[in-house]
Amino acid sequence: MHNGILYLAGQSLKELMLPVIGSELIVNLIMTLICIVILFLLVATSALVFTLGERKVCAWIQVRIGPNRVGPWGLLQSTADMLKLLTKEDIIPHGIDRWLWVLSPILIFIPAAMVYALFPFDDGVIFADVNIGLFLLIAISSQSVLPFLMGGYASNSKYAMLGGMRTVAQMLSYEIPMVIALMGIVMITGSLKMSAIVEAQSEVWFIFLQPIAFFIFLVTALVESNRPPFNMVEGESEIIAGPFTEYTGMRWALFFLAEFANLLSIGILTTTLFLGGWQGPDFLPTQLWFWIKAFLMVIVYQWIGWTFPRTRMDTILSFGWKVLLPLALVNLLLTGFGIYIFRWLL
Amino acid sequence: MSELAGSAVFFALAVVIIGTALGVVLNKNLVHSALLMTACFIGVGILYITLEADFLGAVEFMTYSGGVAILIVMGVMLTHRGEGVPSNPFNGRELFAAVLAAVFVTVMGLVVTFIQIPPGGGFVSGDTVADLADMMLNTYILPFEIAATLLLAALLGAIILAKGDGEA
Repeated sequence: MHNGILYLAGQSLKELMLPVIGSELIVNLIMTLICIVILFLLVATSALVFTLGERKVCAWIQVRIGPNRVGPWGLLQSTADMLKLLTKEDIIPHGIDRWLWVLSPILIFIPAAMVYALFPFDDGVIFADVNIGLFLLIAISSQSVLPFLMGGYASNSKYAMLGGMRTVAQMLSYEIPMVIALMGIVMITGSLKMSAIVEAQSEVWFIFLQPIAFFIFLVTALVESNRPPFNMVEGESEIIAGPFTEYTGMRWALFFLAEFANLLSIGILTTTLFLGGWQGPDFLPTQLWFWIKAFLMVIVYQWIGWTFPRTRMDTILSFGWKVLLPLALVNLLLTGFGIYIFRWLL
Repeated sequence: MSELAGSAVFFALAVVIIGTALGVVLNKNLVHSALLMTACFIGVGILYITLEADFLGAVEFMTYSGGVAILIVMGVMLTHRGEGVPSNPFNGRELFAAVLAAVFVTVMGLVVTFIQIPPGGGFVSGDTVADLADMMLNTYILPFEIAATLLLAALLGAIILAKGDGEA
């Protein structure tokens, strides 16, 4: 049925374990645990790769050299950064709301990591292939708004509070065009299941059927994950670092762990929804196609981020409500007509 | 899911939901109360998912803990009165609340005792999304559209109230 490399590896691991352990229930439990560990390692590795990759890409786009002192081509820069962050003093400011302040960076990481359970990495390789896949994914990622606001409020600092407010304003308003744009895909597929969305693209990728939705998704994904040029939440030229202002060392690093997890997940999401997921011509294995497309999309997102200057808060909001939302609604209507015309032609 | 694991998950969730709900009522800090309410919403959403009402669970995440809770928290934070003052003051209506709670518990107890629950639970659709879509957009399209119009009217009303008659 499925024949991706990862799926076959998982199956053979299961068959190896079954005679040793005996009970199928325990084997399934162990497999689930292994999958969870792999997903977490993936998130952690993405942070490790992107701490260097982000700066290298940024430097390359801005015609600079970038980090090149630690190790060959600066490859050990991530390790140096991590050691620095681990050994930094943990400053706890006065007058903060202690519990919320401590919880905020931890809670931000949970939805960022949880969405990885819903990504189809390969043929038959998806941790939770539920019926409401895409909807659950959006519902989980919408949970990341509140921790930002919590951190902003708990820091008891004006910059942090402003950043928290900005998060809510931009994330809530861009969720709406994003969801409506993705409805076009759901209408064509006829299912919210992530694996079904990938299967539906076996002949034509959705980027060709839904170009307007792709454009809207490109913008909204950048806003939702606080990537430049829409990183108003941090906006270091205006509000220092927004909700992260009062955090140091590892607590601060947790925010960036979530941020890099989000960067990889919007790359994967664009691949899955618009670029045919793991599917591709036969001369390369499906797993390789998946990562090539996902990393290309990540580089596209970084390219956009480092090319355009940061926008203003009011222009972001009016663009979202007055341009993207009507555009998404028009796209929905056109998709409906398109589906009927297609059926009529057949 | 096996029987034992199912009950274990249910009781863990029950502890979380009731604990956070009590926290909402008993906490002295209004912001903490509002955030605990969000935790309560998430607990209820997960409970729906364990009961195989996965769509309802996701809606709970999206609208309640993703939308409603944020609006409440933001409202509370913006009107917060500052340090030292207990922002979630208590009043002396414990007796009234106790009577109300007792009535609620009695009614729920009666419902559980006297209503016949079919053995093995009721029918759960395998594809909740498709069935719900069919129901909302075919069978009950008129109530659905009326609700949509009502919401639109409420939205416009809110804008007029906030911006004033002349501006809006």
